[in-house]
Amino acid sequence: MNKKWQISALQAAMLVAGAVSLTGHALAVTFFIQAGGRDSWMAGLVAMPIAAVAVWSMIRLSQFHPGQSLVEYLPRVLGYAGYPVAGLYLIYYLTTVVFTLRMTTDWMVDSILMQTPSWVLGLTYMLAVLYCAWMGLDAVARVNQFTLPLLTGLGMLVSLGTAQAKDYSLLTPLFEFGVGPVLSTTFLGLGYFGEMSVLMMITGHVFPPERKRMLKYSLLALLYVVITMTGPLAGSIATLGYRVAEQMPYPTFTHWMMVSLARFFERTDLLAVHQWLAGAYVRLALFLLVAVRGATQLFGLRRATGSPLLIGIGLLTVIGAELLFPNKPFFDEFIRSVYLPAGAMLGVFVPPVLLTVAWARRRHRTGQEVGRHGA
Amino acid sequence: MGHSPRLDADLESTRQLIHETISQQAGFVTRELSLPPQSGVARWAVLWYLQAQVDVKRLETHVLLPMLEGREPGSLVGRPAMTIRDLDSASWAVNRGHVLVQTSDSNQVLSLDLSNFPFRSVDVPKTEGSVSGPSESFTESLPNNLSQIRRRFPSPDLRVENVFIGDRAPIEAVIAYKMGGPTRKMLKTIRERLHAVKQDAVQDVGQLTEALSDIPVTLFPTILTTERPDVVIQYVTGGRIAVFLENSPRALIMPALFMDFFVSPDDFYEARPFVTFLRTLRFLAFNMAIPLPAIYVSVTTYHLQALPTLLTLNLLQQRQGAPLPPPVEALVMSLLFEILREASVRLPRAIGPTVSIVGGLVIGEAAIRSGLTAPTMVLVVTATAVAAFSLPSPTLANTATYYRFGLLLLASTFGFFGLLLGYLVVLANLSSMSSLGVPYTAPLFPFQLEQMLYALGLRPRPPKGAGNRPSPSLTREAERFYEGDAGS
Repeated sequence: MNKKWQISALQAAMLVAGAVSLTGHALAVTFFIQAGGRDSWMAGLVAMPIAAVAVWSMIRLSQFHPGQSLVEYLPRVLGYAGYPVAGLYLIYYLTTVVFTLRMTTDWMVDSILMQTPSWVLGLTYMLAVLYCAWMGLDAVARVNQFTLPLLTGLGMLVSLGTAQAKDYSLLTPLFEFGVGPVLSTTFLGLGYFGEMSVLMMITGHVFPPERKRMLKYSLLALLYVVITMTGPLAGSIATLGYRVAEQMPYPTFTHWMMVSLARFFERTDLLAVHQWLAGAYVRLALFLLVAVRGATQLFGLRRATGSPLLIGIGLLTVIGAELLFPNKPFFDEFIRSVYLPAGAMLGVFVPPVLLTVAWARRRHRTGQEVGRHGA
Repeated sequence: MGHSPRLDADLESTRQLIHETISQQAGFVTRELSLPPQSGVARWAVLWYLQAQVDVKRLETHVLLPMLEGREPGSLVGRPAMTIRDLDSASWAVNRGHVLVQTSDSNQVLSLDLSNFPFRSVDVPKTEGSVSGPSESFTESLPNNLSQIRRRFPSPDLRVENVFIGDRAPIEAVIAYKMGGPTRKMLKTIRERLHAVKQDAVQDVGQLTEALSDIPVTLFPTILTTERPDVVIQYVTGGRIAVFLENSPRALIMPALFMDFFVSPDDFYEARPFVTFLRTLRFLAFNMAIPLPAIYVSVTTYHLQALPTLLTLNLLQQRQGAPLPPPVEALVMSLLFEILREASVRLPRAIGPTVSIVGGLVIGEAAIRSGLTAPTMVLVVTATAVAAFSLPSPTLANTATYYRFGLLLLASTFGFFGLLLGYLVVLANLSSMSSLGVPYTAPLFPFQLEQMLYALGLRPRPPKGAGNRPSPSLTREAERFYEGDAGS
């Protein structure tokens, strides 16, 4: 196994938790509140058991196909149909990169660098991401092991710092408008949890490949992902009220503007820049890396082409982030109607199906072997 | 040693060959000696050596006189005689103070070590001074350095291996380790890397760092360098490998991890709570030494809104009339400081501090008074410099300097966005590095609690491994390293 790609089970779970959680607490908060209003904060808890089944399926699938990535074992499970499905996953991962990059540059321009062209920020940021991705999965995992506790700590700090501004009565009454709003957000939440499908691309690189440990850590990662969705959602509603929060493009960013560090730093929103950039850094590096590795596996390219391909695709995503979404409403609609539903489909509903098919095939094969030996 | 003419013929042929080749050197002596006849047959011998390299007195008493009395040359000096088989080896031996001898009734050329090189005596450490603990340092004599190591760690577990490096002019290197400390793989890697060094005339272990590193070109040091025998022992007993080189007053320690560069020699002898405090302080200092000017520039140039209004007004007032914008001012001030530092290092010891004082106080004060720079800028640059000086490793201080300038440029261009980008790239760089296969950032990340406690000085000794139990928190290399897959 390539050492630059070899990671431990804990590193894999932390990597997924770090890379995925940015959507839940920063990128998609507005979409969740718009879909579910006051009840949206419950969606993560409702979606969690369904996502847990998906995560369990992912780990079982990796156990059936040790040392392989999703792209490698899809054709084994689905036959020829596996190739287009693998292609869909890769497109999904690349879309994640493009969407994250676009939101990051938009936010930078909206918040701190109003006069810098977004493509300059996107290109610079992508170059830094490419450097990390070039160093391999092990390096990305180690960066995440440093940034994730820091991000979590700072997140808790801002949560505590804004405690006096929170009115938790704004979270109730529940189900005032029926279960519809919760279900709408739950579906989008599943789309968010669907990003955890990236786990299927990296479990093959986990060493030692212990399924129980991997399952335990992955479920903990899911719990982290749920908490980082529920906490900021509840916090935003409790601080701003859902009517105001759903109108704001970055409700969690507002929390940072309420915190000040003694009399020296009047506004700590610069730390929010740290939160966003550090979180998006690992996320972009991971999704880019698995997309490129998946492409080399799908098209049977030699591994040596991985690095030029990495740079090429990385730079293409910068162009994509600039050109694919002409305006903010279009971008928002794309995330709400295409990206998150696709995530729910590929990340939550497909893995159990894949597991069932893989399991049936194994049974069938085992039955045939028993029959042959019996004959 | 290449394909040089062989020296396995009779005395006349050898004499002829040496006469045509290496005897052309200045100071080369060819000395013929009549030996007592053996069984009635007349015998004689020829000796070749370089006058300045040989202890002539010992030559007379230990070689010439006994040979005239009929004793064989092979057993005359303390060290066993070596048989020289080719001309290159003969040249190498003569240059190293050996005397070549061949008798008329033999086809063997023997080499007797009678070297007489002046070495300075053991001195106090020059760059790794300490308040407590021993005050001895290595010298340029390899046997002397090894004797210091053996004296301080007289254990059968201490292993010392020698390797000759270089092609045409081999030089002796020594690998020292504790049995059961480093893994076989680590030792094999070090041996292979040393054997792969083809460079001749290596003068110092510093020249080997590139060849011994996992990543040849890196800004962060991955090998520790020390001039103190006690520091070598501390690391060797902790499972590391030390590399010595002939003529070099320093030793290399491998693997060396990021946290090791925050350890000062005093830490081994001070009370643990104090050590923890100091190490934490140094770690903070490192984290100040890199980004401080960049933070200042990004805040004053792009994000003044982050500061309280009164402080903002104060800063703006200070900067009134300053001819340079903050990024250029920071760059100029930092460069000036680096020039000052370089000047104080180059100057003789008696003048160096004077230049530092003149540069630091007088120039700084004059720059503020003339309005060329803001007092806050001088404060920031000075605080950064002091932070860098508090680092025990000069290499790490240099690393901080390189990254400081990089971050300054990024922060000048993109403000806090650029600063964070730079910080993330530094982090990615650190995360991708290893030293002899051990993750460079361990035990910080991958996190390993017991090792971290040891690194912070909260544990007196490195934790003992728990057999072959797999640990998920460290990668395989680190695990093997710390838990000790015993060396040969």
